[in-house]
Amino acid sequence: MTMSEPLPAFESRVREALGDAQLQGALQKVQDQACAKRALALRDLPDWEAWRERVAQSRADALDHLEPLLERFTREVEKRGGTVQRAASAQEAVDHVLRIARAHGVRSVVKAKSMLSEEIGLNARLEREGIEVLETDLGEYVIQLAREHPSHIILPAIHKTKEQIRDLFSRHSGRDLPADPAALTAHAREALRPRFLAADLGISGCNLAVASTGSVVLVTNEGNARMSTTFPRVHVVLMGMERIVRDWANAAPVLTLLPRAATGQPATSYTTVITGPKRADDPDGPEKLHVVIVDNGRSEILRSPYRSVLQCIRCGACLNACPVYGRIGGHAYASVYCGPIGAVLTPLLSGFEEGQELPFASTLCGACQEVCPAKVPLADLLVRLRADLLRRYPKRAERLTFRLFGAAVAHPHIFSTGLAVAARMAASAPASLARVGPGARWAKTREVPRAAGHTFRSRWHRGKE
Amino acid sequence: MSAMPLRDPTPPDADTGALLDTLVARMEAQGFRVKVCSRFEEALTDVRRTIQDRGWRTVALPKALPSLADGIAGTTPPAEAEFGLNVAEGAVTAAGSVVVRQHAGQGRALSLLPPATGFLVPRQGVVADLVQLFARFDAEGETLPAAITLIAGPSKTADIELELCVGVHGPKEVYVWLY
Repeated sequence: MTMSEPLPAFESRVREALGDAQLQGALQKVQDQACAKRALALRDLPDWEAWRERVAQSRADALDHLEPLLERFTREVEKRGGTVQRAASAQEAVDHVLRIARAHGVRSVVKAKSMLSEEIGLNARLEREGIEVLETDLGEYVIQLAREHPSHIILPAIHKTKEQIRDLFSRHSGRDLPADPAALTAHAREALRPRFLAADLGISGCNLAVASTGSVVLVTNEGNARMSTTFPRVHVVLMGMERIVRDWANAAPVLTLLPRAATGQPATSYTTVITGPKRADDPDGPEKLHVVIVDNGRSEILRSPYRSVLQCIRCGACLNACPVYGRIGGHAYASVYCGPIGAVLTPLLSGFEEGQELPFASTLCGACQEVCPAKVPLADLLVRLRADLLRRYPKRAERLTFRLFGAAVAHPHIFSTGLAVAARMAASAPASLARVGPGARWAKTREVPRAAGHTFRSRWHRGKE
Repeated sequence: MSAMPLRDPTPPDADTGALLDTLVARMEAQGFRVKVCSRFEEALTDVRRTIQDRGWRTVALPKALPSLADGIAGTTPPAEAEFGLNVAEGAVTAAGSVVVRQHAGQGRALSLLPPATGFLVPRQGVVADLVQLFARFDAEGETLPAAITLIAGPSKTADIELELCVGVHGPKEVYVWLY
């Protein structure tokens, strides 16, 4: 899609979301609850701003020394008997996972939640190769059964009602289940437990990697990531290349703010630190640990003026604060990452090929930037992206307008005469005129005010007299 | 990752006695049932009593605590146990979490598979926050075990209509004996 087209797909997705009363209710509930919990979290942790600064510094330090830190991390993992592979692209990352799966004769995979695995399209490829893949995060399990995509970074199935989930689970299990979250959760526990214990391979994401000890940190509430990384004999970690910090001193601020920013919790139920595969005398744990470090456009971002977006710790706070996400929900973005972070990441990760309309779907109110625990300047990045996208995909009418404007402001006489003529024309034009032409899209959802018939400059001069 | 219920936590305090009170308050806010004991033996006695009171017939224990098996119906592998007991190395006050280390005598499954789990937490292993805990990790470096888990309450989810449900994949009931 290019910018000169009228973007019907995005607009129709937005309209569909706005007309979906159930989705509107769910989004309202998510944002209201997130707002209340944030207030408590802020009160609970004194010096929130100082912590943010420390997170930002820790993340910036990692980006400034990314290559040496990744090398250190690799050495430390290998020293403990794990392996590390680098993938330049999504394709390469999936190939690595497939090779590992084949080498270990893997037939079934249990997966903990990983946005990166969505980004590289892992499940579809594994299934095509005849490997059974099971999502085990409750929300992801729902999404997988429904054959949909996540609509929130940490609450993937928040667009679904308990009745819809009851229907899904009942159809899938052949049992008559009630529309009760506790009963549906208990059903998932029962259905997934034997699958964890029988799977050959567990795949997890990586919330944070610590270079100094070659450790991988997973932050979860359900325990599915622990199950996936304890019982299968092989564990594959999918890690975005930016998800690293130098040492534990630098990990502390990130892991202090991540749960608080994500769900308002001082800690999630489980913060799991994995350092190498199981030791010889350990009673359980995977025999093999493979880390796949994925670039997939990240080095390009690192070299660009957008590098600070790589400071993101994927907490989802910007989604919860965003007035646009709060109305259109995650699916309208039609990208792996949604909300403000998605509006920045999607065009960047795709080399400006995808999500070109997303940076324009923002009010630039700056709420995202204000709540970001890693101080990613999201609103500033959105503005920069708009300029970049317009340079790459200029709209002809817009370019012409600005050229005329440029000529006019360079000549004061033309400018003031032009303004006065335009003011009189606007006042005498019927209001319906605003509903056609270049202002139509703006006027469609807004009340068009009547023009005053004279310019601000004329009033200014009158006022001075 | 999912949410926990709204609760107003007690603000931390620098005073040591108050620090312990804060830890207990925070652990309780996380969903732990906490018992403060004066000595290790007292904690073990209370563990035995709890096992009897709750009527658990199958219990999984770490290797270091074979004596606890006396008077208990039988010790079983974690997958079949109604209750799993763990020896924690300490706790993090700011988060209300216990710190559990994997080693030859204590696998990960002990705190994961049984529907109820408990943790013996030594007072001297209590730290104020992650900064203090992680300073130890940095100092330890080479000898970090394959898994260290910080556990804060029961397994939980709010993935269905934001309603909090406990025990989705891990334990529903969690106990702490602080000694």
